[in-house]
Amino acid sequence: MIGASIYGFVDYKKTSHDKEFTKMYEEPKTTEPVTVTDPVKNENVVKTETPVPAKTTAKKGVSKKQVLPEEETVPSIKPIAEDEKMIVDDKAIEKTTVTVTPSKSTVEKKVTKPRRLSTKLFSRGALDERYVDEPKKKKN
Amino acid sequence: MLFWVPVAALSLLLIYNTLPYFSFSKDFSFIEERSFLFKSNFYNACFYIHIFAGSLCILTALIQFSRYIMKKSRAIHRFSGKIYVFVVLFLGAPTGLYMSFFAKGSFWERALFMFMASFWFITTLNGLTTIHKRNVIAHKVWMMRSYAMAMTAVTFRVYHIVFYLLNWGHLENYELSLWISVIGNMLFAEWVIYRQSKNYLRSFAT
Repeated sequence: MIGASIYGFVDYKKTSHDKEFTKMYEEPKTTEPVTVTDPVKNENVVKTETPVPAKTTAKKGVSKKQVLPEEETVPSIKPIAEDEKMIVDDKAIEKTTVTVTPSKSTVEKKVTKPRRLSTKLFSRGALDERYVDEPKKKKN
Repeated sequence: MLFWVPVAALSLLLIYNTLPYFSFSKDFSFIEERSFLFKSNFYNACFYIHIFAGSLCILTALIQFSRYIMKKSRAIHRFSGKIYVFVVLFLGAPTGLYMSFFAKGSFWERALFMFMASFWFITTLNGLTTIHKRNVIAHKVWMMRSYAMAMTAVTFRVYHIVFYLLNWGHLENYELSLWISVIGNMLFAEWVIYRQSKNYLRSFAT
C-alpha cells in the first residue's frame, strides 16, 4: 500500500502537468439547437401614411413639356407671374392596409430523448448518450 | 434473507458486466474516456488486476455472510475468506490506491478514492488479525466494514443509474453517486453493527 501510494504520487506528479491529462475528463461541449419561444405573430399591420402636403415647385426654367415650334423661333423668356406657376398635383396617398405574413419561423421543438434502462448502464463508465446509444464496433 | 436477493443479483450483474473487459478491447466508455492513462502499461495492468480482484472479492463475499454455509461447512467459509483477504490486501486495495490518483472528479473525489482503498485495506487486515486472535465478534464487525467498502462498487452504479434517469449531468451525477455510495454504505454497515451489538448485549441480560 505504501509502495502504491508512493508510485501513484510520483506518477501523478509526472502526468498532472500534461495537457492531455488535465483535459481528459472534460465533457465535450454539445451545441444544442436554439429554441425560439416567441409565438408566431400573424397580425395585420395597418400602415398608415400621412398624406404629404402638396409640393409646390417654382418653375425656374423652361418646362420639359414645352415643345419647340418647327420654325425654331425661340421666344424670349419672360418672367412668370406667381399665378402662372405650375402646380404639381401630387396624388393623395390613400390609406393602405399592408398584411405582413412572416415567413415560416425556424422554431425547433426541443426533443428530449427518454432515457432507457439497460443492464449495460450498470457500469462505472460515462452514461452519456454518446456511449449508451452508439452501437459498439463489431470486431471481425 | 430478502436483503440478500437484490445484493446478490446486483453483485452478479456487476461481475457479468465486468467480464467483457477481459477481452482487452479498448472499446469501452470507461477506457475511451481514460485513453491517455491507458497508454501507460502500469496503469493498464493496475486496471485489469483491480477489476479482476474486485469481481473475485464480491463473488467470494457473497457466501461469507451465509449462516447456512457456516453451519454446514466452515472450510468453505475459510477458503473463500482467504481468497477474499488475499485479493483485497495484495491486489484490489493497492491497485485501487494507485488508480485513485488519476480518478475522475476534483481533488476531493480523488481523496475519497484514496480513503476507500485505505479503509478497505485496513478493515480487511483488521478482520484477518482478529480472527487469528479468535475474536469472532470483532472479526465480524471488521469484515462487515470491509464488505461495505467493497459494495460501494455496486451501490455507486445503482445511484449512478438513478440520477442518470433523472437527467442529471454526468459529472455531478458521478460525484454525488460516489459520495452517497461511500458514506451511505459506511453508515449502513455501522447501523447493522449497532443493531447486532444491541442484540448481542441483550443476550447477556436475559
